[in-house]
Amino acid sequence: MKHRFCVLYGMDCTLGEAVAAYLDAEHYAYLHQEHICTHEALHAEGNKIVIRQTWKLLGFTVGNECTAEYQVPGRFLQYNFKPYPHWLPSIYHLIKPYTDLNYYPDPTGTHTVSELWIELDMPFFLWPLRGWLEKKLRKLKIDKDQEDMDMIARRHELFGRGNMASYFSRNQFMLHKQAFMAYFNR
Amino acid sequence: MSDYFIMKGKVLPPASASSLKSADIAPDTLHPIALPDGKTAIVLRHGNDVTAYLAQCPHMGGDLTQAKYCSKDNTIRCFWHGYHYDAGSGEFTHNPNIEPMQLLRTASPCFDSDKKVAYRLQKLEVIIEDDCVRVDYAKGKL
Repeated sequence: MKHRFCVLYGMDCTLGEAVAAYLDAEHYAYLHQEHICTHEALHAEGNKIVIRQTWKLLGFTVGNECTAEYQVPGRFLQYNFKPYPHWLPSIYHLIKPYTDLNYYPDPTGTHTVSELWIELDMPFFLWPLRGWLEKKLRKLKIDKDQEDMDMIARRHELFGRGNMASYFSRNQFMLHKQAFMAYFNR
Repeated sequence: MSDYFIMKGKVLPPASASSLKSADIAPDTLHPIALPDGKTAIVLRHGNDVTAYLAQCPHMGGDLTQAKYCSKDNTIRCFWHGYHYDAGSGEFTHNPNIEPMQLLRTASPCFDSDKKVAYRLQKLEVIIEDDCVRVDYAKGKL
């Protein structure tokens, strides 16, 4: 049974800044440390990367592995979720999520729209919990984006809105940097 | 669309106190202190040394008033990306993200994987007078 919902709002930044914050994977385990302990790349091929993320739950280190795909300029898909460690009972043994995040400029040109579609493929006995799961996932997405927005707002104050010079620097690591640069550093 | 909103970022206000009582500077803790130009510095007492840095990470601009101090290796660790800086000299010492992202850190026309980064915290001179500690950004900038 599939439950599908959308988390939609605007972010007070340019499209490039929203995408850069997403691709700047070095901040995940620090700025988002309340949600993520580790973020590791396991395999990469083209615009797809298999990642492993872990976090703490009741004293255990738990997490997931999934395929993350980037489509220029601002689309991010995540699928093939598997539990980590595989032997530990996990929600990912029962629910198969699919996420489709799209960042695009608002028609007024004042901000960036963040449109996240989440699909949860779940067994019938979890169907009554779909509302609770949706609420939790909405909150997680908003909390993490708020942390990113706090970072972006400080950078606006220091370097000016839309200034991405530090992301373009040759010593700055980013996921899919060549594709990002080809589009945003024209 | 009725619940559509625009998320705005929150920036911490600059520190308000322009001086600290020497006795109030707990060891191995980062203390924010206001600079005359409206910026903020962090003051750290480690052993007998009191050091101060501009509260801005040279990597991406992270607010170092939210950084962590690690007394084990005497480093200041930025809250945004976890970069380590030597608390005595301000020099960048370690990027903890290299290992987990090693697979992707291959050289390309826009990324130089071998480039040694030369980030350094901006060290400021600490002035201690009458048991009060202050940092004069304009005069004390090193």
